[in-house]
Amino acid sequence: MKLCITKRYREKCVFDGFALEIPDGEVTCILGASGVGKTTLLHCLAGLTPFEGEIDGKTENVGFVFQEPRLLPFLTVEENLTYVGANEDEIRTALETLEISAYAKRYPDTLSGGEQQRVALARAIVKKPPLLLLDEPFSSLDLPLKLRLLSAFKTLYQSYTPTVVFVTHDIDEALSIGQRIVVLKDGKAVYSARVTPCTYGENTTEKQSVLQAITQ
Amino acid sequence: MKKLACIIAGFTLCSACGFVACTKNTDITVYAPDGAPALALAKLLKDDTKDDGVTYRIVNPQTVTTMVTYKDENKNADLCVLPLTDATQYLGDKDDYKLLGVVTHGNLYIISQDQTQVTDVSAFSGEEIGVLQLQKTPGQVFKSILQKNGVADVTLTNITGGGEVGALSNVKYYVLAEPAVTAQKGKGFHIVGNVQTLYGGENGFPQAVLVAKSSVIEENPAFIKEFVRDVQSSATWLATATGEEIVSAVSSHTENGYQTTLKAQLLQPQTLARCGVYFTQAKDAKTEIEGFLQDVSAIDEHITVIPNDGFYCLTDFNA
Amino acid sequence: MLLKKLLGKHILLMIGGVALLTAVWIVAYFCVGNDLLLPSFGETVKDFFLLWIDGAFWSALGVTLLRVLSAFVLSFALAVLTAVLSYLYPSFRAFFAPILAVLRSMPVLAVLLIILVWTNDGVAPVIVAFLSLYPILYTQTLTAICGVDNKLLQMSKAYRVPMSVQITKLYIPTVAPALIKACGLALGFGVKLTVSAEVLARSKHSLGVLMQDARGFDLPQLFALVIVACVLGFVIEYAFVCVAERMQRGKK
Repeated sequence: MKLCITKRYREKCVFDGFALEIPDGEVTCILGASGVGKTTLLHCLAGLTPFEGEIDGKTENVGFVFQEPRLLPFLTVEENLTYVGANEDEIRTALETLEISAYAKRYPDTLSGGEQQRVALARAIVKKPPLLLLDEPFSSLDLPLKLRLLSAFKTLYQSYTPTVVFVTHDIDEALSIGQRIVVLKDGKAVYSARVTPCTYGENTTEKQSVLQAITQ
Repeated sequence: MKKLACIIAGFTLCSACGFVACTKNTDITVYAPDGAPALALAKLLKDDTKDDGVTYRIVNPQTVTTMVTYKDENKNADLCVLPLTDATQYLGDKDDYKLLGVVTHGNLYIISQDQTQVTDVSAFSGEEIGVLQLQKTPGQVFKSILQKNGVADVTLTNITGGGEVGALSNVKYYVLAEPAVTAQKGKGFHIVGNVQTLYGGENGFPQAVLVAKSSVIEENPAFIKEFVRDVQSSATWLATATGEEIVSAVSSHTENGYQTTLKAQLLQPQTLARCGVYFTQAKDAKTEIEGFLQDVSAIDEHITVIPNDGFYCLTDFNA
Repeated sequence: MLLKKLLGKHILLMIGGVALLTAVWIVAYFCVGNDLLLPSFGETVKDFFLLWIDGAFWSALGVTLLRVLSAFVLSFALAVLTAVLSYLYPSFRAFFAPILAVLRSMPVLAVLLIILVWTNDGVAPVIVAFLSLYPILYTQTLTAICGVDNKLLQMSKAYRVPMSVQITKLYIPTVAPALIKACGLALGFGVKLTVSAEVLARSKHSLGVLMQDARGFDLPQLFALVIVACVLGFVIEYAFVCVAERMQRGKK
């Protein structure tokens, strides 16, 4: 997937002819300081915000995992997945993949934050969208829960290998799941490299390079 | 210091109570409703010197009956003019009050923008008629007239005053009381019927009466006799009084900010003549009153009390 | 136990409140000492229960409730339509704002006198109630629609959820509890307003005219009718609020 976009918010120009290539079927992690435009990039990919330029690739069918679960509180877990157009078989498969079949008839307010985010993940992949967008989905979770959900994410990625754009400010998180790391700064990609996913928190040379790119 | 303050406070309170008790008004109180019944006392109001031991009060017609129904007798009016049906309903089966006489004998007229005179009650058949105070004497009398003449298909709508005349669609006739009737001429309404004549009595019908506490009658027979005679002469005085004199007399005896609805320019001699203000003492009006009460009790289930002879003060005040 | 379930855990306090009102009435009755000014609590309660076995009362109640319902349905339908338009088109909302301001500030019972000239005593109370209820329902509906979580709307957009599904599965369930509550409040208010308008307009065969008639000779019945109107308004409002609160919670 190739994109070249310009995005302005009133007087502020977030992206000016920003070009990026996202490999199909791979996990691309986007890193950068707050306000650099990571979420804006995802919103452009999802069609949630207008922009100038073009995106060459399939963006009609996306799965989007937000920072909050964003589940409809008056629908059960099952009904939340039906809401995005999934049928019974797709729902059963998605719940099994995330190991949350037992939650099917429960309402979101009876689930913990981590459980709700699992349901959000299930919703994102239930229709097996070719493009999966995640916007800091685990930022509000504690470390043990984060690790469990990162593991769940790996499982669902391996279930059908979609193109994934994963936005995070956590370098360890990015390096544990990403196959490509992009660091954004001032509307540009100041660092872009292929990496091999490692154990969460492992101190690698790639980590040093990314840190350097962020802090420069 | 605290003890002294308490003693002073207690003494002050007792003194205040004593002062109030000592200055309690021991005047004889006379209440009458605004409108034609107030005209019956107009001369007395005009001549009132306010230090003759009699206090007059002209009140809203909606509240006059409450002046005689307090459980505490001391709060009740000593004398009161009120509708006959209220007087009999609330006082007729008790010994507290006696009826001295009738002060107004019907002041109801039928008005319409159509000038055709109504002489036959069947003219109302199929019509909708606005009637002043449908639940009270005007309504009761008119219903009685319709029933006696076998006219059943008439729709009666209650109105509370002259202001609503002409406001109701589909209503051709209104039954209204003087002096409000005269005020409707400006709206293009004319008197087309006399309710008193239609009712059948050459003297109209007993509309408002004067009652007095039995204790006041017993303890002050001379005062009662003089008062009744003054009421009789008040009716005669109306024929020569000006509208301004009458309104001035009435409005100087209202209370609690109430303003009389009487208008000086409407109180012309012809209007006053149609108000039916003249006094008939109980001894002479008793038969007429009983006949009227029988008529209205036949058509109004709320009228349940027909007083016995003990309710009437049968003294001949002209003797 | 059943009462506690119906009225909530504060049932004892509510009963206490009613008891206090009753005590105030009884004390006031003895202080006033005039049945034509303030009837006894006992007589009024007796008349209250006697009303319910009186055919004329049921007929009048039916007519009044029909008026309330007519005004409510008209105002609700128009409120939803205009609120949706205001939500979708800010220009419509701006255009409509002064009209709404006039409706909100209009002294409707005074306007009743004008309306009586143009219509009749049967229709006028309906119009008056409509003019009062419509601005309330419009504002509540618009607030409820605008209260739909933007984040959920964004999620719906991201997943390309069809508008029909968004309306039935997101907008309506979100808006319903607040709207139902608003309907309850509006209906309760509508009862009071309609009866008041009926009294002023002397609408035939209505609770209002029963009150006018009772004013002449039967003060306990007048008080009893007022209590009926109060109880009716309260019961309707409370029923709707209960439904709304049940809807707000997902089932376990």
